[in-house]
Amino acid sequence: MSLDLNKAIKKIEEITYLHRKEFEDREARIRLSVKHMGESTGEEIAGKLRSVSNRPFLWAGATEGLGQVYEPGPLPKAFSVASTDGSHIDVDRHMPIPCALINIGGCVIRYNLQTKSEFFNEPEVYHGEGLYLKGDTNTVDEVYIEGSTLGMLRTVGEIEYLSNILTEYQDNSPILGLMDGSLILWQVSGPGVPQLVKRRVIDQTFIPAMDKLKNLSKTRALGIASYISMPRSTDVVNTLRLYLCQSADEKCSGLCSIRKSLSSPCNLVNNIVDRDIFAALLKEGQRSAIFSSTSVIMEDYGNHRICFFYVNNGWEIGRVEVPQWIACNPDLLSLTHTLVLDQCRKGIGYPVAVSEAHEQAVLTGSDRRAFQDMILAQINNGVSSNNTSQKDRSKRLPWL
Amino acid sequence: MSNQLGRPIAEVIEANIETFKAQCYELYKPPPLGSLVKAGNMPVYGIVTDIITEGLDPSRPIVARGFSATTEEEIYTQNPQLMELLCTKFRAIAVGYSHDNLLIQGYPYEPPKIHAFVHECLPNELSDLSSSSDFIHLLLQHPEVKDEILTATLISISRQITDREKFLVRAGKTLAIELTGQMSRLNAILRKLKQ
Repeated sequence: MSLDLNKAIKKIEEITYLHRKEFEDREARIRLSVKHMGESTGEEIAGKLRSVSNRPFLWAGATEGLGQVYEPGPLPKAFSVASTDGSHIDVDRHMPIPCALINIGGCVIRYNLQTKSEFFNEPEVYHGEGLYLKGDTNTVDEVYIEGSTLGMLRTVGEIEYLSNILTEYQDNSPILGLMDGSLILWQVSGPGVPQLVKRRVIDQTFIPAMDKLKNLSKTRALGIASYISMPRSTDVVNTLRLYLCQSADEKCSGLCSIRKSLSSPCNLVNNIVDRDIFAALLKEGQRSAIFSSTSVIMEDYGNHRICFFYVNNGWEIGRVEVPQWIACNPDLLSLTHTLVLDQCRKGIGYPVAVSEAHEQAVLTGSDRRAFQDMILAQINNGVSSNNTSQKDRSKRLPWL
Repeated sequence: MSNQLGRPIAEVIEANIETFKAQCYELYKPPPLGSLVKAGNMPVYGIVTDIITEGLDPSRPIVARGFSATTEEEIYTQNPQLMELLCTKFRAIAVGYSHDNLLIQGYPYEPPKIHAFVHECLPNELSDLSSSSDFIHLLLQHPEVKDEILTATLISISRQITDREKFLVRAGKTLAIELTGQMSRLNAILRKLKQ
């Protein structure tokens, strides 16, 4: 045997000792963090946030004590939950016809209602001139739809599709529109994203869809949310970091990074994420206070800035994002909290409707192959010329 | 033989000369085991020999959901999507086909089409089937048909026709010939038929 276990075991003992010590230290810091959160008041937090402007990390806006918790409301007797999700096939440059596909899937699950639950999906194929985003007036200005642009159109397409489903929903019972992932389209604010893409995604799709949902919420019991499982965000931890910080902006920039702080007392929350502190704070079913995103993209969201809360669903701490008009309406906020929680309970830790929407949207390997095969079959029927690349041929027919 | 059709109860999703499989339009509403059904415009007649309820998507495992429910109904009330994601299917063994408006006993010359509608049979069609015992021979020859299924079939037919006694006596005689040398098996079937 080439491994000297006697030598290795000493190192392993050292590593596990450090890991245990670090774990105990972290647990103690989480407990202390929760204590500080419980002592904070809305006025203190709001005052502190007003006094800072430039820090090397992103924090959550808050107007109430960080340690505030809320119980869910009573579950409505009859209600529905609608959800959408998307999947796409990117442009394959080895295919004879450049084309892309976005498949949006969704469901409306009805609880204690006479009407049946519904499942649906809607594929949209982009090809030819349709593969270019174009400016309204300047015809020279255009962006090819592929890669991350296609991904952004898909994400915002899910929101648009959900708004259409909810608009057509006829029953008078409460309904929750629930999506997977984040409502904060941070990719759109990333470097190198053309204005044209930003305009299509935010101004021409996201904002109109949210306007429609906001108007609907004025006439019926409607919750809108997105659910993030096992969130890795640190927005609230960073707000606590600010609350504890006694330094001015300039000094902080020299002592803190996005991930951690070198000075006390801010280093209390080093290597802790939001879900760690809410796992210690929230009992099963409870939600946290409402926080608001301070992501730069929020400047383009108009009346639909995104707020969020954390919820202990009994299996995990989930992050629930809602538009501010839901966060500011106690009835719709409570409905959203209650129905998201119920969905997680019914789905054994993850919202049922979101899972089912995913099943409707997902494109399997065989779906992708079938899509390509259909294109090639049409070409072989004489619809178009066959100029598949030899690289593609070699992948399809790896002959010996 | 009447061609009068009611509402279809299922649709063929798999078919060969000997058997066809159909998906029911309503969950947990299959035709009874041993009953006679017909598939297609030029009907192929089959005896229901198996009933299955499973997920529509075979890649999705079904998990227990009743940990906090007090009744089975509550599980379905709490998870209404199950009604749309589960489906009941049944398998039928071909015992006859329609030719010149007559029910001919034996395997059809071609299986029913995929997506062919499946109907439950009318009493006059059961009478046509019961007028001959050839279908008993077909069922006994099929490896999937257990004696319990054969018994269920004979009882099911006898309950829906007018000359019940005559049918059962003829069936018993056919069985006695078909199962020559298998006395204990024959007796077990006949005991069930007498109940």
